Amino acid sequence: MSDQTEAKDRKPSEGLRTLYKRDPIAADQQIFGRRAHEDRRGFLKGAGLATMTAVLGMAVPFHRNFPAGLIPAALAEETEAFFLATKDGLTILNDRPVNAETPAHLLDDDVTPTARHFVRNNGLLPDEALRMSAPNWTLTIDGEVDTPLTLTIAELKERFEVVTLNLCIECGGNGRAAFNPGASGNQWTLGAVANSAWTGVRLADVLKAAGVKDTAVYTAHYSADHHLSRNPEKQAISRGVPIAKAMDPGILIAFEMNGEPIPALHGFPLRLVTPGWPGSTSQKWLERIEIRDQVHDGAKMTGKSYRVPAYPVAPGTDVPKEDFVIIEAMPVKSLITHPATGTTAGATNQDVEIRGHAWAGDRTISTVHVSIDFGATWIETTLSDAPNPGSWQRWQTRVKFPQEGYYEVWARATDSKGVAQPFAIDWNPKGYLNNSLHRIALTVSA
Amino acid sequence: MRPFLIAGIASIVLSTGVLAEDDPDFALLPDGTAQEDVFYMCSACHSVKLVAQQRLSRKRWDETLDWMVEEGGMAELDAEEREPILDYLETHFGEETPR
Repeated sequence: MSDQTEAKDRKPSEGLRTLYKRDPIAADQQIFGRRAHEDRRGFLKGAGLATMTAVLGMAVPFHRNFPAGLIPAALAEETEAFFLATKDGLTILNDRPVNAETPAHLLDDDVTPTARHFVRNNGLLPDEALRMSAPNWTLTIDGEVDTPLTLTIAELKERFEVVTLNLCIECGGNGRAAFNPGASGNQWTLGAVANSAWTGVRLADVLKAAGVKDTAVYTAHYSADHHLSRNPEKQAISRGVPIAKAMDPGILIAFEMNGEPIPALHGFPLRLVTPGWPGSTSQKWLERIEIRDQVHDGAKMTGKSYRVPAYPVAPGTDVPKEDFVIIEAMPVKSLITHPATGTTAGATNQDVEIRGHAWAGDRTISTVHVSIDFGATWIETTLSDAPNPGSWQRWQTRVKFPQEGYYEVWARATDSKGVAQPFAIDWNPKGYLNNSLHRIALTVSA
Repeated sequence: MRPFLIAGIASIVLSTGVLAEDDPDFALLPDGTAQEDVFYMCSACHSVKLVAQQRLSRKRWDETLDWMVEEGGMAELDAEEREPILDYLETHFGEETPR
């Protein structure tokens, strides 16, 4: 049995070819920003040629003959942004580093397909991920442990129980775009959340094997990705969780996503999945977990990163650095995934199905209600149990609209401690934790 | 040409091989004084798509530049270099700029 984690059958060029097959002109535009000349032959005007030249690292002498929609063969394997071609319908916020979110109506599946999972990168992909080949990958557990461990992925599979769990990951900054005044960072709207099936071993089992000492306070996660500046002494991101949280059996050291080796953008070949806590605690391209005797102070663990003020503040307030606290569990939230906002629905007095998902940090969902009259009255939906702790939960209902016209459908989830989503944003300087209601527009015709 | 600008241009050209006027992302930055400075300083490490998304007060931009130096490895800017950049960011990506 080979411990190689090559993924020859899942190279990014496959997704790229599909994209080009579907609509080569649009693919050119999306990936290169290039537009063909009218005759569809010599095609690379100005900016497009410069981009392709830059990406290839050399001139393209016969560029005038290069037909529109033809993938440059040299590029298919190598460039990080090409992995975005495997995504289906995502909004690309940034390509360097890669950050892309999913429209709500494309998150309808109970298990988010890989092509629809959001991407949030802080740095640049490691070589192993670009090549989708990591035969010598190891995970080191060290620090405040009795027995430091260095294990290959094959050894992880042999020594520890392998499980598959549907796990909800949400970026701490999901919803930031709605902040007023604006908060700095990626301007996510509502699509930096997903719930795929992850296969791996439990972090708790591995930590128990290493023997966590009484002096342990926090984990520190280290990965192989590169800081944007390519300075080898800087980490793109290195966060951790309190040791009590690390022993939660719901956290996985994962090596498969939806039954396949984890794709390059999602952390090939190994990552943490920490459901219900900010996505930044789910370290990708994972190489090492150090158990520390103090709160971890790695990149994006300190200052105001993933921290909120210790007390409520008015929008726009300057809060002193020492008054920030680290975000732990994410708050209760929900999405309407059907119908899509802006849809025109059936006739009056006919049932319209409304459905979506809800999730709540370390808690479960108690109820989800919807309103079609701007919050005046609320309809309780039918809520499904989570298939396992850490998964989001499906809710659905059928609603009759009394007359034709413009409606909004609002959804509001309440968690197992009776805490519901707020109607407005609890402003904080870095734009985290926007769990205010999702509202969709619906037109009902006669 | 100011030293930081030379360093900025060198790093962007070395990392991506593209000059401002050839990069499609450059079009995300409205015309104005310090437009090129902003492009070269910012896109050395990340796309200016990130810059163009922001709607921040001058003070928040100022703090962001500090963060870029401390955590991001950006070259330090002296006052003469920093003020026109802050003016530009406040004008074109300020709190009141429409999205």
